[in-house]
Formats: sequence, C-alpha cells, structure tokens
Amino acid sequence: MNDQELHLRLSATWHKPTGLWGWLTDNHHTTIGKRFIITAFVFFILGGIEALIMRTQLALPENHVVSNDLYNQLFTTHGSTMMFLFAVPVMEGLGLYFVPLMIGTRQMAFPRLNQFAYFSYLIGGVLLYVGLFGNFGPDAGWFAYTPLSGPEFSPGKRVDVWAQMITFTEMAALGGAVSIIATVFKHRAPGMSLNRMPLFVWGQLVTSFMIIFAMPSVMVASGMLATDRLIATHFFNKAEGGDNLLWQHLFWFFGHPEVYIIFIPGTTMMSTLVSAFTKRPNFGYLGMVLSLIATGFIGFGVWVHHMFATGLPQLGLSFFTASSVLITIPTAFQFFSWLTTLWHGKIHFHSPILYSFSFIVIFLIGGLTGVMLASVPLDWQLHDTFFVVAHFHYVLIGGAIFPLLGALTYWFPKLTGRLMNEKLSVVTVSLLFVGFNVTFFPMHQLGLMGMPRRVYTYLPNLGWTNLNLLATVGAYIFGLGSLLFVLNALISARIGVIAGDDPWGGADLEWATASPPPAYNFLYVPTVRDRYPLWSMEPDQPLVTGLATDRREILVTKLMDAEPDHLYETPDPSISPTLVALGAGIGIIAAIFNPWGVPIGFVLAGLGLLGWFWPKPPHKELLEPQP
Amino acid sequence: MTLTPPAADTTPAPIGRRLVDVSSLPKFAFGHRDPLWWGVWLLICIEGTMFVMLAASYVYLRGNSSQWPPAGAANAPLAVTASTVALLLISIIPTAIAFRAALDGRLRVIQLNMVLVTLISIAAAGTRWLELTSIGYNWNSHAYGSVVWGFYFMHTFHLVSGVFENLVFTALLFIGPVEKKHMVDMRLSAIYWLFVVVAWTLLWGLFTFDSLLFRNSIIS
Repeated sequence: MNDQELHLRLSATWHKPTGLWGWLTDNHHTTIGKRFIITAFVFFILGGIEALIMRTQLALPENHVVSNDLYNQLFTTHGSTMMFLFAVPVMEGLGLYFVPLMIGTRQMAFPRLNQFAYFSYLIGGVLLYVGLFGNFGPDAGWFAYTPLSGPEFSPGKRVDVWAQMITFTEMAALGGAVSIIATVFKHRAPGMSLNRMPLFVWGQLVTSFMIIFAMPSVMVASGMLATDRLIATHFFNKAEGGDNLLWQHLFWFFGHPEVYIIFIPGTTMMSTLVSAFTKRPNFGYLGMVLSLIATGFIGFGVWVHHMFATGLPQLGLSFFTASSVLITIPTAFQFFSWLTTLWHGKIHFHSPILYSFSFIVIFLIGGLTGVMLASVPLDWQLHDTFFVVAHFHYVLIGGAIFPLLGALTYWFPKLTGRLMNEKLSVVTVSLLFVGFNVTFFPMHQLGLMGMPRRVYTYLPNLGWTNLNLLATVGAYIFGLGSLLFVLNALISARIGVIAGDDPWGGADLEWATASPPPAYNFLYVPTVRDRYPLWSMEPDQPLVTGLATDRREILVTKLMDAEPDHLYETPDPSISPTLVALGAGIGIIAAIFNPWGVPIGFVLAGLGLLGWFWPKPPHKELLEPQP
Repeated sequence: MTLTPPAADTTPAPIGRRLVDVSSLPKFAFGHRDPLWWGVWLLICIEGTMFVMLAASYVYLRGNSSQWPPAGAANAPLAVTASTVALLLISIIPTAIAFRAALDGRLRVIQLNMVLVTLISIAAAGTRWLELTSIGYNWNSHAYGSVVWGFYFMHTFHLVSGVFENLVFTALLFIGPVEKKHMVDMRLSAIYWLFVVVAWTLLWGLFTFDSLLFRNSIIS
C-alpha cells in the first residue's frame, strides 16, 4: 500500500459526514473547533453592536437613543456575551482545533463530549438572545448581584434567562476542558514529553484545569439563584437566614479565575507569535510554564478583591491585596521573556506580530491599573466607576482579543488553506489599536472624575461630556477595525493567497500537515525530538506505523515522556450527544417556568446518554468465559 | 516497538524512513494509562467541587445565624438517614471485589458482585425516598432548609444516575458479548460509584453531626 492508497483508506475511515445530518452528528475536533470559533465571532459581533449602542447613548449628556430599561439589558447582555459566549468559547475552540494538531494526534480523547459541549453552548447563546430580542433580556449586570437579581427586585423571567444561560455555557466549557486535559495528557506524539509541549498547549492545559475548579462554583450559585426565584429557597434571603454576600463569594470564586481563563490562552498565543516571527525559541521556557501554572493557582486566591467595598475584616483586606499583587510576578516574568526573545531575534514584520506589540502596550497598562486597584484605599475610591471599566477592558481586550486576532491571522492558513490579506490586516490592527486606546484611555479619567458604571445617562454640567464623546468616537473606530477583520476573514477564506502547508516556517506540528488538515490530520503520526519539532527535525525523523486504517484508532502515549503505550479507539459520528444537549436543553429551559423541567431534562438526557455509551458490535478481544 | 513489517489493515511503512511500529501494542490499559480514567476523575473533580461549594455555603450561612439549625427544624429520623449511609458504605465491599476481579477478568465474580452492588444501591435509593418524605421542613422554610435540601437534591441526582449506571452495566455483563476492554469501563464505573458513596457520607456527616463539629458561636 502506497501513500495514495493509505490516504484513501484513512479518508474513508475518518470521513466527516456532510449535510444537515453531518452537522448534527460530526464530532471531528477540527469541525467542532471551527464551529466554536465561528459561533463565538457571531456573538462577538452581537456584543460589539450592543457596546456601540451603549457608547452612542453615552456620547452626549441626557441622550435618548435607548431607554434606561433597554440600557440595563444591553450592558448585562454585552458583559455576559463577551465573557460566556465569546471569550471562553473562542479560546476553547482554538484549543479544540489546534491542540491535537500541535501534539500530533488524529482526534481528541472525547469527541462526543466536544460535540455535546458545542450544542449546549449554542442553545445557551440562543436563549440569551431570544431573551434580549423578546424584551426579557437579563438586566441585573453580568454578575447578577443579589438582592437586585433576586425574586423581590427582579420579578419576571429576565434573570432566569441569565441563570440558565450560565448553566449551558458552563456545561460546554467543562466538557471542552475535560476533553482537552485528557488529550494533552494521553495523545501526544511519541517523544513529546511534557517539557517539550508547545507553550500554547501548556496554556490550554492550565486553563482547562482552572475551568474544572472554577466553573462548578458559578453553576452552584446560579442554581441557588434560580431556586430562590422559582421555588422560594432562601440562599440569598437575609430575612430567612440567607446571605447576599454568599452570592458574591460563589460568583467571584469563579469570576476571578475566569479572567485568567480568558487571558492565559492569550499570553500563550503571544509566546507562539513571538517565537514564530523571530524564528527563535522562546526565552525562559521553563519559567514561562511555571508562570502559567503559578497564575493558575494564584487566580484562585484573589477573588475577594472584587468585594473590598463590602466591608471586610482588616486581615482579609491585607491578605487579598497581597495575593492580588502577587500575580505581577509570573506575569512580569512572561513579559520580560517575550521582550528578551524579541530583543535577541530578528523580527519578521508581519501583521500577527503587530497584534503582539499592541498586546504588550495594552496589557501592560491593564496590569498596572490592576495593581492600583488591588490597593484597598484606591479601590474604595474607584469601585464601580469607569476606571474599573477601563481597567478590565485593557486586561481583557489587551490580554485576549489582540493576541487572539494575531493568532487567528497566523493560523488562518491552517483553518482555511489561505492567507489573510496582509495590507488589510495592517490597516485592521492600526484601527484597532488607535480605536481601543481612544475608547478606553479616557475612561480612566472619567472614573477618577467620579462617573459611575452602569448609568444610562448623565447631566451636562458634570464635565464628563467631552471625554465621553471622545470614547464614543474611539468605539466606532474600534468597531470599524473589528468589521474589517471579519470582512478580511470572509473574503480571504474565498479568494486569499493559497498558503501551502507551512507559510510561516512555523515550529510546531500543526505545520507538518496540509492546510487545512485532512480528516485524519497526519498521514503518519509524527515523532518529536525537541520543543520546536519542525525546526529540529532530522531528515529521517521516525514516523509511527501500525495504526489501524479501518477504524478510528489513536496512539495513546505515557503521561510524562510520551512513550507509545497502547491503542485506543475514538468513537464514530453519532446523533446521541446532540440529543443529550437537546434533552438537557428542553429541561433547563422548561425549568425557567416550572421546576418539573429539571427531572424531565434529567430523563431526556439520560435516554440520550444510553445511545451515547451503548457498546458497538465487538471487534476486539473477547473475555473468556462469556456469559 | 520493533521494525517488523506491519500487519494487514494497518498503516504501512513508508520507504526510507525510520519507523516506530505500534501495531503490537495492547488495545486497552488500566488506571491512569487510560484516557477515560482521566475523564472520570476530572468529572469527579467537577462534581466534587460542586459538593464542596455547597458544603462551604452551609458553613458560611451557619456562621451568620444565631441558631443553627433553626428552632423546630427536624431532620429525617437518624435511623433512616443512617441506614442510607450504611447501605452505601456496605456497597463498597462488593464494589471493591468487582473492581479487583476486573483486573484479571473473572466474569462470574464480577457479575455476582455487580448484582449485589445494584441491589444495595436500589435499596439505598429506597431509604433515600423515606428520608425525603420524612424531613420535617421544606426548602422554602429557611436558609438551613434550602441548603440541606440542596445537599439532598444534588446527591439524589447522583444516586439515581449511579443506580441507573449500575443497572445498565450489570445487564450488559449478562447479555454480553463482554470484551476485555469492558473491564476497564467496569473499574471506572466502580470509581464513580465510590465517589457517590463518599460524597454523601461527608455531606451527611456535616449536617448530622453539626453540633459536634461546630461550637454554636454567634456572629452578628
């Protein structure tokens, strides 16, 4: 059998089903990953439109573009969209697409779980927007503080929509995280020991662990909120022994790690880009990895700094100030490492590296205002002002969106087979950088001048008008930049320059296969002898043979050193995971109106699970004796 | 790993490259070598964190109350709640035997013990029903009621899933055909069941022995 025959056999075995049925049943990691990315960008555009409407409303004092009620729904939906429906899913989507390619395997460990995750996410996102367009969109802020979000002050179904959207998106994130961890631990190509993994893969691993321990907290909290509202439990009802601060603790125990869940992938994309466009190994690899892990741990010890204004014991204030400042150590290590890599290398100026430079400036400013806010007296002054809005947009847009767009430009060939238009990309990144700073830098000053968050308008004599107008102009520039990015992607995907397998001379294994990769990813599973496999490959670098071609067989390797261990069969396409998501979805949405939705969803999802796990006709070694 | 020609239906050898032939590797592995083992433990981490958060909420709320549990809040009779815990704990024995027997595929032993596990888990679901119908307060009575009912809700959800899983699994062991690989799944299912047992034992201990665990301090 020659390579051509092998290609045909593997293509048949790994065939991606097409059409509507294919859309409902395919579980290939590139399909699911791409879907996550595209869906997240749809929500990004929706969230961006909401932001522009809000900025238009705030451009002038006593403006009446939208009502106060709609404004509340807009900022709640904007925040919830960007956190739950864009940032986390898009980062995970990139992980689902690229982790198996970067570690040299043909499929993720739990493809059906990924498929389930995608449909959960989709249902949750659609639910939120059905709410907004039906004028029952949530309006209590993206963190839905009680008692405002409780049954007394938020009657109706608005907050319930929010709470159930949380359930869906957290299920999705958790499913993806489990799948990524098992894949990273067990599917690496022979030779890719843990200390040879690409930094991006390390980032996905740390992020996934953070998701596993952070997201359950908000699921518990949103469950409590939903039952407080639906069946009159008293978790957050002070009169009956409940406590509103319990909500804040549970929410921020998730909410702060959430920020790092969003920007850790961003920093590792940064590492990827810096190394790729200087053609040098990253300086301080070990320290970079330890920084990621340290960030993961510290991220769980700082949540109370969101609650400084609630009245805490002195010791609590000091502790959480100290732990919050601690985060600068690993982050600074990463910064200095990037700078060192750039300093020592010859920089190849392509648009992705321009995104990286934007990241360095913007994320640094966001980090510095973060250190300022970690100081309690300053926090008390600035709490709930536009200074905080400026700070977290600098961190999140700087730390996540700029590297994300850079990484997407870099990886675009691997997603579509074509390069993005370079000139348009340079214009895009310039508009985004200028637009971003014009929008958000003035907000620092507005915050210092006392402008609170979440107000739908302000009086003309407060002196906030000019800066607000400036911020609005910036927002439109940023909006234009975002639009250009999307247009560039859409156009380039059709008529862009054909990229070939490895247009950038990249170091990692994703560049060792076609663009876009065939359904089986690699004709022969590769082996690895260094951290930068393609830069260090020997002319006769060994290849793996002996994997079955008539079923979806995967090579499982050992946890530490990735020595070949055993063979593992990944499942074929199936409708069951989609049905489980749908069954759980029916139950969870019904539970907005009636508590019986929960057991109904439980039974429906359980039936779907039967199909999911039902054993295939055996073709493996049978046990002796048989029943 | 040898440089022998690959078997039929497997990836062939390209000419002129060094090769790592994996066709003779085993088709399954026990313990942490198995990807699904990681899947199950991560699931336990997720759900364990949810239980920990509920327990933390219990402790947090109790710290705010001058009287905990509130006056007149009567838990289900100790005899009933303790029998659920006892049944769950007893089920560890056949689970452990089946877990051990799966290593060398002793099907009869596994079948017998899985039947026992399933029967005991059904009995535990029965006493759980008695518990639920004899709790002397409701979830909307007070915050104590909310959080203890929260324990019950979360855990009953797991208990019912566990019974369901045990039932289906045991049935498959009798219907067959049973593959060697199913022994791996058998052990994973046992690990998950043990989690269900341990989780409830701790939660039950927390609210049943509340007065021993905490001084009834008043923070106001």
